[in-house]
Amino acid sequence: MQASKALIATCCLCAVLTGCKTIPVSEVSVTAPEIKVEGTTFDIFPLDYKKANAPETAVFESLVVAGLEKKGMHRVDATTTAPTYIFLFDYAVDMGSSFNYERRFVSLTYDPALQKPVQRLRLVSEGDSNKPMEVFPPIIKNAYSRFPASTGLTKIEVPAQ
Amino acid sequence: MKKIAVIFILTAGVMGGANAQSAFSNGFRMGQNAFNSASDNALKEKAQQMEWDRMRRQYGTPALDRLDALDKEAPQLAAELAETLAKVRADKAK
Repeated sequence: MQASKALIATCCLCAVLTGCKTIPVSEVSVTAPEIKVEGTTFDIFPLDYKKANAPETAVFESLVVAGLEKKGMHRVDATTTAPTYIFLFDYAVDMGSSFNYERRFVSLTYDPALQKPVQRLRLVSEGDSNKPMEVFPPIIKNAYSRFPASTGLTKIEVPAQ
Repeated sequence: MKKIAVIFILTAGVMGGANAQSAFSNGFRMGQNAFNSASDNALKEKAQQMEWDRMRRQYGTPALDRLDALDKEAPQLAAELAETLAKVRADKAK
């Protein structure tokens, strides 16, 4: 009994000290059955040219790349090698309802051989932070750790960094 | 001797009563302050919420709207990008 109380107290203390909180994220991903992951190649580009040179764009891109490479995909330079897939992604933060900010991340996986998209992902979360660098990294990591993941609507809880 | 004891008891009673009254009024004041503060906070929060909603109605959500518009066009943009990249590769191969 004493030990369990001590354990609970330690967990509470750790949670307080590390500022642990979860970000509920609504995820809609639609994946075509023909998508292949292991051994395929890809290149990735920002969807919005206005954000192409933003520092956070480079960070989010590297997170997506890391997630895909963990799944056995390889990034190539699409100007020299034809990739299996082309990834486009974008993100935005704006005023949401209930005195919160709405944060959205979208991505599209395009198959040049089939000439059609094979996966679309849409992540939506609401919260009090409007800082992309605070909000998106855990959401992106979580979503791409399950790539190509689920089909349809899921609600994921992402631990905040 | 009995008279002295009665005087002591009465004095202690009066002092105890005064202290109890003081403690009660302090507690009452603290409670009242907490209530006022909570009520102020609730009002402040409500006012901020209303201002937030008004600004959202007035300015809209241009960043989210732009994202949605681009997301809608994404398949077409990806097709165009794939075509451009193929041309670049073909040019490089020449």
